Amino acid sequence: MALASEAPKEGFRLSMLIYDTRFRSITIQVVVLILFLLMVGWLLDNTIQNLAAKGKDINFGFLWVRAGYDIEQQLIPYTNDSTHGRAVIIGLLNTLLVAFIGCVLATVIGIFVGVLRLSHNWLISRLMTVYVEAFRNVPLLLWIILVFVVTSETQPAPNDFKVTQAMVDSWQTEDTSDDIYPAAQKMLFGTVALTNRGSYVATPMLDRPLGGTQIGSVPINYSVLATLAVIIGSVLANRALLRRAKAIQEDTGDRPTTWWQSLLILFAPTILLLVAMGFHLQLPAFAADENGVSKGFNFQGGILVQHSFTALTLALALYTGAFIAEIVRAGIMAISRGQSEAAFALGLRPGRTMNLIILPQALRVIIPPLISQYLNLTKNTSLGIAVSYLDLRGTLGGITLNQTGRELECMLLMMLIYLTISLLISALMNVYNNAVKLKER
Amino acid sequence: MNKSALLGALAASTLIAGFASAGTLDDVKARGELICGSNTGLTGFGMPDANGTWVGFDVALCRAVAAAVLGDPTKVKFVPTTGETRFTALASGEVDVLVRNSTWTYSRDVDLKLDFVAVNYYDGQGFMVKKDLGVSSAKELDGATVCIQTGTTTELNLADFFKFNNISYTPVTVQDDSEAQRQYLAGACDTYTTDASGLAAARATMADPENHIILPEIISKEPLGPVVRHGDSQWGDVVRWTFYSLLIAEEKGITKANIEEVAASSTDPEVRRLLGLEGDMGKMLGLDNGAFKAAIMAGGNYGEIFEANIGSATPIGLARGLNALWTQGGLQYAPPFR
Amino acid sequence: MSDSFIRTEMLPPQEPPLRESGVVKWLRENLFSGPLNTVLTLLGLYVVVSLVWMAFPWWWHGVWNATSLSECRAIVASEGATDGACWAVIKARWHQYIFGFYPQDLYWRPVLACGLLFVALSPVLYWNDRKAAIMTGITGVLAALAMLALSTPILVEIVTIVLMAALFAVAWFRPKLLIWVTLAYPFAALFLLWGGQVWTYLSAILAVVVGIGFGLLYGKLRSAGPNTLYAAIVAIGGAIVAATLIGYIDTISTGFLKTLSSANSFYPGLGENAGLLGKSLGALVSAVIWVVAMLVWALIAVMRVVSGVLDLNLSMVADFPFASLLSLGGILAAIGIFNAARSRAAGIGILGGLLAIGAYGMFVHPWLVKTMTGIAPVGLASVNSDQFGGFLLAIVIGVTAITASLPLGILLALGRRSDMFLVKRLSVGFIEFIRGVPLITLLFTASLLLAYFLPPGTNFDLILRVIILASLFSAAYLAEVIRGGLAALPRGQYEAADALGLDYWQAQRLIIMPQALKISIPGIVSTFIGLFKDTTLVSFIGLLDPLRGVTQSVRADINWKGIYWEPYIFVGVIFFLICFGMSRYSMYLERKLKTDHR
Repeated sequence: MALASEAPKEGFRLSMLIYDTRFRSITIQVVVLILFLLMVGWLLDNTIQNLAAKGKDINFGFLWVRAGYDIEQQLIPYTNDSTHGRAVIIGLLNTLLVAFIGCVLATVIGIFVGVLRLSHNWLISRLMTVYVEAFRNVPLLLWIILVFVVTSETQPAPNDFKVTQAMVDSWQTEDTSDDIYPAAQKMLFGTVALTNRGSYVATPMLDRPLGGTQIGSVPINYSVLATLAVIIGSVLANRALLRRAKAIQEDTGDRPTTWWQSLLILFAPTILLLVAMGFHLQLPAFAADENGVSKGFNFQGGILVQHSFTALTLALALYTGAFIAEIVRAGIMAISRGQSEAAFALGLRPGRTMNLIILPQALRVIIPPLISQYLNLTKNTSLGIAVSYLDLRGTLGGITLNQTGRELECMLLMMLIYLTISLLISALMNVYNNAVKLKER
Repeated sequence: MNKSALLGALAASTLIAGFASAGTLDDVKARGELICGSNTGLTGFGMPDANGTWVGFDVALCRAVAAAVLGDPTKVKFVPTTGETRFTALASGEVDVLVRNSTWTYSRDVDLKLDFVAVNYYDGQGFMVKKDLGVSSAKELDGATVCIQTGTTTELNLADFFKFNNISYTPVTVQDDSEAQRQYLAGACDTYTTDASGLAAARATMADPENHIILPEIISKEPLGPVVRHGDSQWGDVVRWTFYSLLIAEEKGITKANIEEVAASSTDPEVRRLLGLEGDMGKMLGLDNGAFKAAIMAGGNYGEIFEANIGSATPIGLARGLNALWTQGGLQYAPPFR
Repeated sequence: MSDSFIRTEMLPPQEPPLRESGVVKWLRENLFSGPLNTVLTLLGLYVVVSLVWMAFPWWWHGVWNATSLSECRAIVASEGATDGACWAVIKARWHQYIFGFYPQDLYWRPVLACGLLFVALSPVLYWNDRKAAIMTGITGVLAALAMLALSTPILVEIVTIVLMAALFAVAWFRPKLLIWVTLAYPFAALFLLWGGQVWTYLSAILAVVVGIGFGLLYGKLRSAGPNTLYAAIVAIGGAIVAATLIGYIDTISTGFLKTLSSANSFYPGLGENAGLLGKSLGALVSAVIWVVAMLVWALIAVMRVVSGVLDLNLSMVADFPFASLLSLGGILAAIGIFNAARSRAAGIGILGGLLAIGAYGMFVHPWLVKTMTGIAPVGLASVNSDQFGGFLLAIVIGVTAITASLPLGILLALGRRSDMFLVKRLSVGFIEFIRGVPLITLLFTASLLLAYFLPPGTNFDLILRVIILASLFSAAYLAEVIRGGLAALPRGQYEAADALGLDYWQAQRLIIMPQALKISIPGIVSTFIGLFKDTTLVSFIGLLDPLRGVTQSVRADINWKGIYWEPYIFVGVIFFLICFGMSRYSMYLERKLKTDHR
């Protein structure tokens, strides 16, 4: 099928649309366009016909209708009187929360394990290999379920934290040997209580909050904003201080002592602000009567972190962490030995060799696959379905879809949102990737 | 060129989809098989046994319909559906009838364009708690953690109940029944709420049933029944009257064992019409005259099906309650068969 | 330099360093080489010991013989232990985890299909190598043993052994012939798994043979006369197809025009109480749908005008499809015949082959199957796909999807690197869309939405729908893997191909793809492993996957209600063995194929 090599002396012929490479690409693209539009038309036409046959329409009005169901984990206020639209946003925020915390944890785990796998310690490197292979070769779904069961089965029930009348009585006698205590105790000075229905964590409270407002239906808390502003201000001030110290060092060769100034600048304003606002922790505790006997079913006060959230995040982080560990290991091994040998020859210590020579180069190898792992993790949050975590799929693609019966609208909206998240993440990461990329001339 | 021709030829050998025709009844007859949407596994109501044969209370109704339409109760294909996929599977024609303890509600009937043709089980949502929790009424559950299954009417009922009584709760949504029970037993929730039948079944199969109580409040009406697509009245009639024939059979004392005997000896005109000995009742519906006889013979009358799958003789041990015949103080009432 | 210090006597020799060897040395070097390592080792030891401490009693008191969970618990209690594994559930239900609800007496069919899969793979993995024969032999022995264990009818057992022995002989003496097994395997596997009349499958093979034969015929005709006749036949056939298409476009356009002109229901309504944001969102969605609709409408309008003009010119009746059939057929025939005389293009051969298959499928196939079934009904009992479950389902979905997605993935990768703007954009759009949404939403699409997108009344097997969506899913991932392979090739390879005067497809086939695919093998295998693990997600749409689906139905049984860890561990171990084996194999392959020396 070799191309004829005759001189192009003839004028345009119809057959040149197919056989002449100059025109063929246009022909192909026109054909592809027509076929594509036909397919789109076909799909739309089918959809319209099917909708008509079922007496349905495309209507997103359900998003403004009362949802009527409850969601256990909500980052912004929501009750069962809120709309389906708000439930979707709650779900989306829950998805993003898992994705964010999962990515951070997975990176930490991945780097640790990746480095430890290269350790000379026989036991540790073997253990890390076992971890990596076990998590990479077993379905994520299984890990989510197992982590969920482990978190919920191994922890005590809230009842075990209760103080009963018998206990109070036993404490009132002089004899301390017959004292009985609740079967389980809170941890970390009473700020955290791990139970089999979730972890209760102390809530930060303010006695003199700065108030807040609402923009649309999103509440804005001035106290949080003020704290954030102060923290950002402190960090900026600290950077200015360090810059000045560096300038002095370059001028005089002596670096002024800055650590206590740094500490002061970083923490003092925030602490002052918090004290001014009357910051304290509300510990999770049972309501108690005058004798100290616990009442009620659950801890009062404190934030309840659901086990479905913990398990999903942890399983995702462990699973993705195993993949990231492999990426990190491959990245470090990709840097040739000569680099570290050269660094040692220059007299750099191993720590600085790692920081200044190996990691900056390894990062270039590591970042692109890392991005795709982050994307995978974000998409895998949809497996929260296995532990009934009410993320985007749980609210929009689950209960809302079920209660309204609008599967077409719900599924399309859900895909659109996931697609947007994925594209945003890859766009952001690509910007970063371009920034650290090897600048070639 | 040879290879490209080969690739092209391979690409062309694709599958061609079949087209379904208008009436479900005709489809089922043409196919020679009833497709029944079932649970993915709910003890007593619908689940595959060790050999993969589907058994259960809902399943028996499917088999009766298959017997009525096709004359053979084994010609049923069961498609397991989840809470999310069930109504779509029905609406898209993937299943002919959905018998998956689905609650008959206004919006499902009207907005989702489904037809609930009968109620084969009257249920209501209840609560189960551990005895040592010291609770005797659902109204004392203020602040409790509640396990619920997602994708059902129960979560809406629950929200309504707590709102109406002005008390608070923490929901723990769970994907399926067995998982909900595991969580409840592990103490991850104070109370487990679902249909009372499910609670009774769960309690009966626990290692220590005496330590669990079902609270007296029934917070909702849960009429469960077979569902068909909207707009196919003939098929709806087939399913509806197959179910009613089972009820009438119980009312008239016709059982799987004595049906031949009754057919030979009975002089009751309604019984004779039911068993196809008199009149053309089956033909009116596009079935054989012996269709309802076949339906009864498939698994027995309503009472027999109930007792065999979920009744007091089984480990699930449900009492008839609301599901007793109207003659015995229940709600199960079939219109006259004439 | 002054002579400030001159050593006059030698220092006494130092003690030689301690000779270390054996266990102590190894321990010191590998476990306790420094404070950090010592701490790490102790920590690691602590973790291992505590894990064993926790799990050991549970393993130790495992019960294998019981008929229900409560019996298990009783046995464990009678041994005086508090907790023990109840493996009896695996013993009672293992076959459902492996085969789902596949009829028990037909288990030999999936086993044989699985065995043949390895035989079919062997020439692909070891081309013209005796290792293929070894692989065939091992597979054969294993399949025969598995059948023996599954109490297969003795006749089937003998036939299997004979078949496998024959395949082994072929593989040993004429390894290249095994490729025919590979080509026939899809048909054989479908036949074995789903059953039915053997004629259906033979006829399908025949269809492909006829298509290829007819397609190849074109180049073999030496003189112009028969070639022109051939081209004319092809042109007429093409015209009929095109006319049917146009007739369909007409139907669509009518529907579209009607919808656009009258119905309000087409707009995504947002209800009365939508806020400003909602209204603008609705307006945006409406606008997007409008643009697409207008494009389609414009295309159809152009076609109508064109065919309308042709109608006038040919002064045909106003029957649109018929008119367009003749007009378009005429044009196509003209072009076809015009070109047939002067060019030896493959296009006509391909078109001819496709048409031959289409005609065969429409006219000959049903007749042939019916007749042959009437004359000599030979076949296997047919098994519905709703009876598939467990690992059988996972493997069927995984293997089919990855096989189907490979060609599509290659095309998408080439499309993404294409110079043609439109082709490139469409490929990128498809790949990014599929990669941007979770698999679970695609599965829900298969189960909930496909019914909307296909012609009314279309309804086919859920498993087939899942396989199609899974194929599209893995095709997008494979496309990226292969694109990586393509990008890794030095530019010189492309330039060398151009310099040799190879056209695009020749260059791809002979130069680019062999190298790019080789580089991509680890990526392809890991995509497959990922897909295989992801088949567990089908349980969310009601299919019986081994992990949740089967376990759920087992737990619905009153005897096994409340069982938890054992099924998951069982399934997890099998998944691990399969995936770990595959990943090790891909590493081996990577090393073997690595021909460059760095």
